[in-house]
Amino acid sequence: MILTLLRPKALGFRNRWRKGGYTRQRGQDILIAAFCVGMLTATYSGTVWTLTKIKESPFLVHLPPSLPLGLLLLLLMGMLWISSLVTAISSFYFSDDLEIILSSPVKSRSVFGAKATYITLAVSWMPLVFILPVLIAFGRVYEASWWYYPYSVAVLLPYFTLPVAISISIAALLMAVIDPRWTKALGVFIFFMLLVGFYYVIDMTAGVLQSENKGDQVLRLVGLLSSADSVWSPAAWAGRSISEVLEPTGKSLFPRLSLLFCSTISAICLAYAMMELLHLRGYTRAKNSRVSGRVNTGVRPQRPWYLVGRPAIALAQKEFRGIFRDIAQSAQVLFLTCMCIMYMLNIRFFVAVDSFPAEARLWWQNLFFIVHCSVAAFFTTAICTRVVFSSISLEGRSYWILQTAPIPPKSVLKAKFWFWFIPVAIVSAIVFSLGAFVISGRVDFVAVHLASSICASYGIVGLGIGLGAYFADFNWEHPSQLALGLGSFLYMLGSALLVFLNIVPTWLMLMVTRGAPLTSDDLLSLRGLLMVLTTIAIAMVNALVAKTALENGEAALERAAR
Amino acid sequence: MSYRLVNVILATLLSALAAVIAYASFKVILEEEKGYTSTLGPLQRGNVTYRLVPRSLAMTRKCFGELNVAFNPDLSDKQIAVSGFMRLSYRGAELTTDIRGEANFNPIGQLGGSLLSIKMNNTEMQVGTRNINPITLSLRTLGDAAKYNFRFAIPGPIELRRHTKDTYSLASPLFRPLTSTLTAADQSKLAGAFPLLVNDIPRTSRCDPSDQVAYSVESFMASMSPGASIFNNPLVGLLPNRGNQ
Repeated sequence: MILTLLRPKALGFRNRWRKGGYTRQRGQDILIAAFCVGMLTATYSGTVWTLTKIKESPFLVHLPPSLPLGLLLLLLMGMLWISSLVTAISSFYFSDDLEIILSSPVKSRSVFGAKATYITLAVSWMPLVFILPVLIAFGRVYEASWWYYPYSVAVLLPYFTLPVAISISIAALLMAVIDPRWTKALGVFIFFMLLVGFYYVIDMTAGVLQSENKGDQVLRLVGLLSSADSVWSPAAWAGRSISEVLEPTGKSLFPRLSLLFCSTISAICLAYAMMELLHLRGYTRAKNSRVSGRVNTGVRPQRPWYLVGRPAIALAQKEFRGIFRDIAQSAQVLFLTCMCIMYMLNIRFFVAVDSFPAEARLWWQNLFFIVHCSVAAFFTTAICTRVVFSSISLEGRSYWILQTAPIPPKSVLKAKFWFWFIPVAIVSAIVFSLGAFVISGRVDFVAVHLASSICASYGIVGLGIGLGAYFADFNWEHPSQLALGLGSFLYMLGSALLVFLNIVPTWLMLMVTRGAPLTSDDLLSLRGLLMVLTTIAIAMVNALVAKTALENGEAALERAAR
Repeated sequence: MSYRLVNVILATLLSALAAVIAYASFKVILEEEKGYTSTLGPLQRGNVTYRLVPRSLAMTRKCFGELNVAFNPDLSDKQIAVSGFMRLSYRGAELTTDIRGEANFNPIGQLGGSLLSIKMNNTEMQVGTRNINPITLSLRTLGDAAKYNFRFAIPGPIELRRHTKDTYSLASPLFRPLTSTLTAADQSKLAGAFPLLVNDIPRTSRCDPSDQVAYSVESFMASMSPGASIFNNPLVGLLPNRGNQ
């Protein structure tokens, strides 16, 4: 029965794939496949390079494989929590097929099994694709035997299922207790959280400036690194189970595997019991949550800020309301905000670089730089995939209103682009520059980072809106589907590539100056010149990417209208 | 009983059962983690001087040596420096032993390298370590005595762990045999039977020449012989002395 319930989803996926132009646009598909393979190869090569570098410096630091693996799995698990919760809410309470399924003579455990399987597959395919090259790289660098590969994939099974099962329980509780109409209140809560978060970030930056004793920061850094390997974290259970095969430390595998699998089974059973008890109550609340909003038909007076154009303002207002219209969308914005603020509050760990010996400082600075840029890239792409990329598709079946409105698709895309560019640029500028400041403590470094993050935001948001229009899907059942499709995967890869491209000038700057402030001599040197030229080239690449993506998106929307 | 209720009860029971097994596994992991790295210490921030006292003369002011341990965890290269001396007597001849050592840790507290030199008359023994994991341990003798030069690898890393603001300890899987073979009661019994006391003392009352006595190596060996079986473990000499610390 579970397979029968899953069949429409599988057929839907197959049809979407075919409709996406497999026969019509074979060349384009090959290009997309080549891009994906290229990115995955790059992930593999990057991991091999990083691990080899770490292993080559045994006199500097010893990092067991459980630590980088634990950190990676921890980050991915953060994303899994967000995706699982949002997909669980959407799938169990807002999905279109629920009315048919719940009224048909299907056992509740089959419905639960089908939905849980669907959520697990939907949220885990993307992290799995990302993590597979990383695991292969680990296996190669640590010269693992052949059975490491199937074993590590088997360990990932409970790792992916556990957050899904817990998220289903949380979703059951949330929907039974919280009224979906409270999303506006959730919006206000996010806003206040942002304010409080920024207050602490400013406070922390001032503290870093005044801090004399960097020794404590090093110990905190050690604490942070160890937290990835904490005995309490499911990511660490999986990470340790895999790394023990790579570099045995004499710890027994069985209790770790037993803990991972048994806690997953326990969470699944608990989720089922909770759904059995609370689902109907939550579903009824979700069905009754149609907001009877006020309809304002009056013509608003002309105001000075309407100079940007009334359609643009109207679209921006609609976009703003759209975020808080749906509890799943609000929840993911809330989670991402929390994660971002938590990262910014803990960014002070990078100040520890000051207390490292001069000869090792550059090595550590480079390592921190890579870690910080990867995390910042992760946040930027995660936020953009969830809100920018899906911005066009979120119009859903009401898209005809925009189509019939006297606004050309170009203006729609432009309005959406500017609406998202400003907040994304602000957030990424803060995250990137704060890290740059804490790592280097130099104004010139921060300035270059700031400029490149704004350039990157321009490119990423343009790419998001453009690709979102190109892969637009207005027939979704629930919004969380949009972030889990092929288009969003491509966008994630593309935007991650763009972020790393934008980091090149700052990295070059770090290498040119070798930790010292930038001087005119540096700028006049060949490498300095290369740095300036790279910065200009990167800015142009961003502009070009945004322009090309928006034009293609516009063309795709026009084609769809015909 | 309704079908739904049966389902809920069954699921809850199964969940509880799996949770119990998970909890038991978790306890095993916790125990394993606790026993995996054993610690040596405590190490105190700053300079601490230890007076080496024969247990038989514990009630007097007599001492046969002094050990100064300087530890600064705030430096970028955390460092432990050891210096001291011992006055020993062997077959009637008096030997003055000079001890000097240094251990350097990387910024995240892993032992990067160390050297301990024990000089006795014209003979010097050096014990050094290199690399973080595995640690390359080398042992060699210089001077009049027979020349030895050993080098072997031991599992690392040895790490600095902070307990309170001013106290640290050294942690390593290498120290595990000490705690896994000896219970806490055994360790305290052993410390009580150990013929030496290590007292940390205020800087004003060091082991002055007027208080010094030469400590007989033969009597030390004799006092150790009843418990020789316990000392089969070559690392047992590293046990923290629980005398009057």
